[in-house]
Amino acid sequence: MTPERWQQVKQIFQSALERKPAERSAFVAQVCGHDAVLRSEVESLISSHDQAGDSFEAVAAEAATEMLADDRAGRIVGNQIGHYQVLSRIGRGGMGEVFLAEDTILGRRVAVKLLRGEFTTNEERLRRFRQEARAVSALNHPNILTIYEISQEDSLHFMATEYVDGETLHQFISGGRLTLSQTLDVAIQVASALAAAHQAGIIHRDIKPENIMVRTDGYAKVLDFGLAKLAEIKAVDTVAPTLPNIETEPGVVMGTVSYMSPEQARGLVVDARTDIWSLGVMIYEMAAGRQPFEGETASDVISLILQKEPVPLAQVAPEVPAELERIVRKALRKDKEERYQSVKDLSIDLRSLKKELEREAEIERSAPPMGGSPLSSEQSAAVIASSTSSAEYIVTEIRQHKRWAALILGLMIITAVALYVLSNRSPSTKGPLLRNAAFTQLTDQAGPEYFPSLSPDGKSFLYAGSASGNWDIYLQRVGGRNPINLTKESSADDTQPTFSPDGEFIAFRSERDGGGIFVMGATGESAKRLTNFGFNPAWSPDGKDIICADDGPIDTASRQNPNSRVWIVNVASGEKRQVTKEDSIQPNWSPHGYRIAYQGRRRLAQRDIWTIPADGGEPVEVTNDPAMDGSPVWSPDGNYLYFVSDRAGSMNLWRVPIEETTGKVLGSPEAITTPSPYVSQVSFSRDGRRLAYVHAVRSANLQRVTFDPAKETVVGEPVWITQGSRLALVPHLSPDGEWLAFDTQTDKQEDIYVVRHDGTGLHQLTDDPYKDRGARWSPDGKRIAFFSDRSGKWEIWMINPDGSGLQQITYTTATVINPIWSPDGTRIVYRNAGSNPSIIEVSKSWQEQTPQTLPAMSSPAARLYAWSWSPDGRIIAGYEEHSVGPPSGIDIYSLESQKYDQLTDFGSSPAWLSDSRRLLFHHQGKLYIIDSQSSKFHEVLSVAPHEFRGFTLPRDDRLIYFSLFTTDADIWLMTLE
Amino acid sequence: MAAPLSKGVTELLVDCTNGDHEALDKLIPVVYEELHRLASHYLRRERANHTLQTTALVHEAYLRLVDQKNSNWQNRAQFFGVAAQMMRRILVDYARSHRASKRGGSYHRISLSEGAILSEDRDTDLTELDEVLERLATIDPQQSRVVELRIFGGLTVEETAEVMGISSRTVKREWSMARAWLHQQIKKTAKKDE
Repeated sequence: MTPERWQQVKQIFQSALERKPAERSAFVAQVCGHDAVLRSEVESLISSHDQAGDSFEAVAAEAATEMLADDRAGRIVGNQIGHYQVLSRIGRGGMGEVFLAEDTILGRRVAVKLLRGEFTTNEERLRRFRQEARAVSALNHPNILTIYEISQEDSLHFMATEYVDGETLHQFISGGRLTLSQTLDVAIQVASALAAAHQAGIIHRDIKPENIMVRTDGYAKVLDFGLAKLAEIKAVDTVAPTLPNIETEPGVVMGTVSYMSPEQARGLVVDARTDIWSLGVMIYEMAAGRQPFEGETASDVISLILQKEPVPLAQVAPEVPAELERIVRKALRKDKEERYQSVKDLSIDLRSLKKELEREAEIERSAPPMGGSPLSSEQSAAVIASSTSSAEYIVTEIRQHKRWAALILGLMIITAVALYVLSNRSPSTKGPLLRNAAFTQLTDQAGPEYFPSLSPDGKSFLYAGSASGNWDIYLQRVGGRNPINLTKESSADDTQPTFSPDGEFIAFRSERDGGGIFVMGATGESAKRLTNFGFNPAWSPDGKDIICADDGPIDTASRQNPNSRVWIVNVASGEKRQVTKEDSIQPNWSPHGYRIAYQGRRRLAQRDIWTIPADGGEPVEVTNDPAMDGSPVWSPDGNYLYFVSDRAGSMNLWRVPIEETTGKVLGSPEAITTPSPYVSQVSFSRDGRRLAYVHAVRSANLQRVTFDPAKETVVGEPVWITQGSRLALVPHLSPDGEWLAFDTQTDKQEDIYVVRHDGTGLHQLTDDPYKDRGARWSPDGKRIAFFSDRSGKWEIWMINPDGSGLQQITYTTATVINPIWSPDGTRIVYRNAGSNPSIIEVSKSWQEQTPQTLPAMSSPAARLYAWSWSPDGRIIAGYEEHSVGPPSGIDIYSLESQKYDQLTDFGSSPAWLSDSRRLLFHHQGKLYIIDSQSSKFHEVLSVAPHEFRGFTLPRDDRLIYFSLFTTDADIWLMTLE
Repeated sequence: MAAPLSKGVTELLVDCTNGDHEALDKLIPVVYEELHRLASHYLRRERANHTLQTTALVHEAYLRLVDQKNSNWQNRAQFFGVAAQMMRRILVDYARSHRASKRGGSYHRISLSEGAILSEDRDTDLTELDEVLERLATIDPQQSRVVELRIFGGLTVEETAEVMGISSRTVKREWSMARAWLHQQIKKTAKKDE
């Protein structure tokens, strides 16, 4: 347009605008005369004028806001927020920017999310958000992003969470649709996270691909529980729900409507079923590579969500099985009453489908390519019988043929389809999820199974199980269901079996005849003693030597001998040679015999992995961080050291590239994430394609049982007080008998909680990354003493029962733990590491204290671990501990005679009854009562094979509250394709 | 503390008004820096509605940088002219560098509220606005300038009139036509994109 023409248009336009809208058209027509182009230009401008809102101003303001947020991010990188050193920016979400940072206290990598200002202005909303976030985090679910801290520095609100190395599902699917197995993997994991959250009463409300992180190893984590609510309250509160307001409100969250449920889009109250809908949309999108409801504008999308059925999945992605189509359809029912009613049901259907596909793939693999039935009819029947709901769906259709031949043919066709789907990625999809690892449960005996050892060919495996009443060594075929007890003849415990490199022999730990390492034939014949000491035997690659350690606990957290060394023992001569000079357990030889990897202790409690030359020399560290690392095993090619670690939260499998000859670490640890909540004890097949490990589920909850102190027996069955996933340990009853204080442990935190004796009123007294343990009520019930590492080392602290008044009591140069009140509340006795207990006066400040240390015990290596002060104030009971070796029994110390008296040669955690004469104590899952004057004792209660983790009694001795610790452990197999 | 700087800016403004291009070059980084600083300061205050208002920023920058006593309305006009231009440059540069990441996807401006309140408009890209405004400047420089001052300087109709030395009525007329035209042009671009 020429400037002249422009001026002409302008003049007519401006004059027209000065007229009433109804007159404009006639005016323009009249002025333009026969110039139709001019007329149309002016009219078009007038119509644009009517449509143009204030959007241009908003655009500039929005860009400015965004830019400044970026600018702020730029300034944050390199600086510290709280105790987090910010390393780099990861991204920006609707709720704020996210940074990678390092926790300067714990030395781990975390993600720090800055919460945008508008979400943090209302304290009450923030408090509710914190509460919800904490509740979800407390679920400790592997598929929920763990929140470490929600805090603020100056006006900057931030949230520190677990760092996930990966991309959002949004990024992950941006390349196109996922394979069926990828889709199912992600969907199952998200469903599992949602099921746990829903059970805890928490709805996500904003499930979408941006809120799912997919780790590089395929693990999915759901982010931002509770955040949607924080934002939503804001919007409702501050912006009246009228369209024009929102339109000009440039601070409005960038979001997407595509995953909203119909009820959410209508602005109705939502429940857990809204998450089911959103997950349904996501599954559709993963499988189809497009969303079920796509429209030009947000309101188009919403009207589709409210009114239209999506294009059937089968039309968009023909290879998707009908069952998945059915699942998605059921998740996307517009009426929430017709939808899946719980995400658990959805999850079951997804898992069944996955299992079915895997089973079919398995059958196909074992089937001859052409002709002949791959299975006997019995086997086929078994496959069908064990199939679950979705399988039935497929099978029902096949059954209509009612002939075995047809059935088998049908199975093969489905198998072929499944295989095609499982193995053929569409060209646009990304690399393998889960690195093609398959996980199978191998054992399901009653009781726990530990210490797997795969045969060199990977076809069978050994393990220790206790189904027979004592620990025995079992041999089982991989895929088989019949374990053979190889040590049936021995009534002593036999554990820690390991195949020799040629598969001909088994070395193992046995408690028979005083204990030691034994060797027997591969089918249990001719067992012979090799040593009279040692645990965790492992063979040298040439089979001539065996390494072992002085200690070999099932759980590395509960060591018997804290100063274990690794030894090499020659199998032929029995000669032994010491390898390590520091604490070391779980030794394993490198595949070419150069080095030995082991777990050792650094400082007090840090457990890391080292390697040491097998022929002597200095150890080289593999890990050095606060994470618990253990069970190192070399990959058979010698290029990796596999180990278990809780560095990403739960105890899981990791590996690190390593130079076998020098032990030089060649990279950082990478996760080989298994679906198991707690992994330990790893064993490889010789080809490195099969790996057996222990999959453990641990729990500890409080129980209560009635006790008759006259008859010294329990009455009736124990009842539950707590039933949760966090471990509840070492309860202590308040003096009025109303409340129990106890320790809790999750993978992340150890905090003190309080709960009413009937299980109500649960609340948390401490909530931070520090370890808080050993809560003990003061005799007046006003304070709770405990010990904590919050000052950088273990000291005694106190807190009020409502969580206020946290105060450090001791400022020692040593390690002090386990405070025990005197019955009058004036003194506290605590355990000193390396010496006998000390007593301090509660009323004095630390400067005024002169801690009084109890005299030495008769054996100079022995010390009293004080556990209970008698109600009459005269005797302290505890158990005897040694710098090396397990505790050796219950002891009492008289404050008057200043003498010790040993009551038993076993047991721990003694607690006085009200008569100041009798004590209860426990040992290996059994609770005993003992008379401190006669030393006579008898069993009161057994929970074996489970264990006690502390107990407590009211002042009338009529109840026993205790923590029941259970472990279920199975052997699992990881197969790498 | 602010005195030597403000004197400098005022002097630079005077020089600019007298047609000194070097003075303008010196003025730009000072204004830029101040706008940035102020903006961050605003964000830190974390108000309930802390959306950045370009208007407030430009005004505050003016008050801080320019010695009121020794400046006249011409200096003031000069300053806002420069500030609006700076703002435009800063924001458009930013938007351009982030254009790739903003494109694509199924995003709409929307509140996460259960009320599902949403904006009908497709997001206007700032770089597009800048390009269209550039075209407008070749046809009608005055109108383009009105838009720049109003959108990027955040000035009111009256302030714009003062800075440009034209009547408020003219500003209003120019503004309504510019808005209509920009809207039309941007809609055309949107169609081309599809």
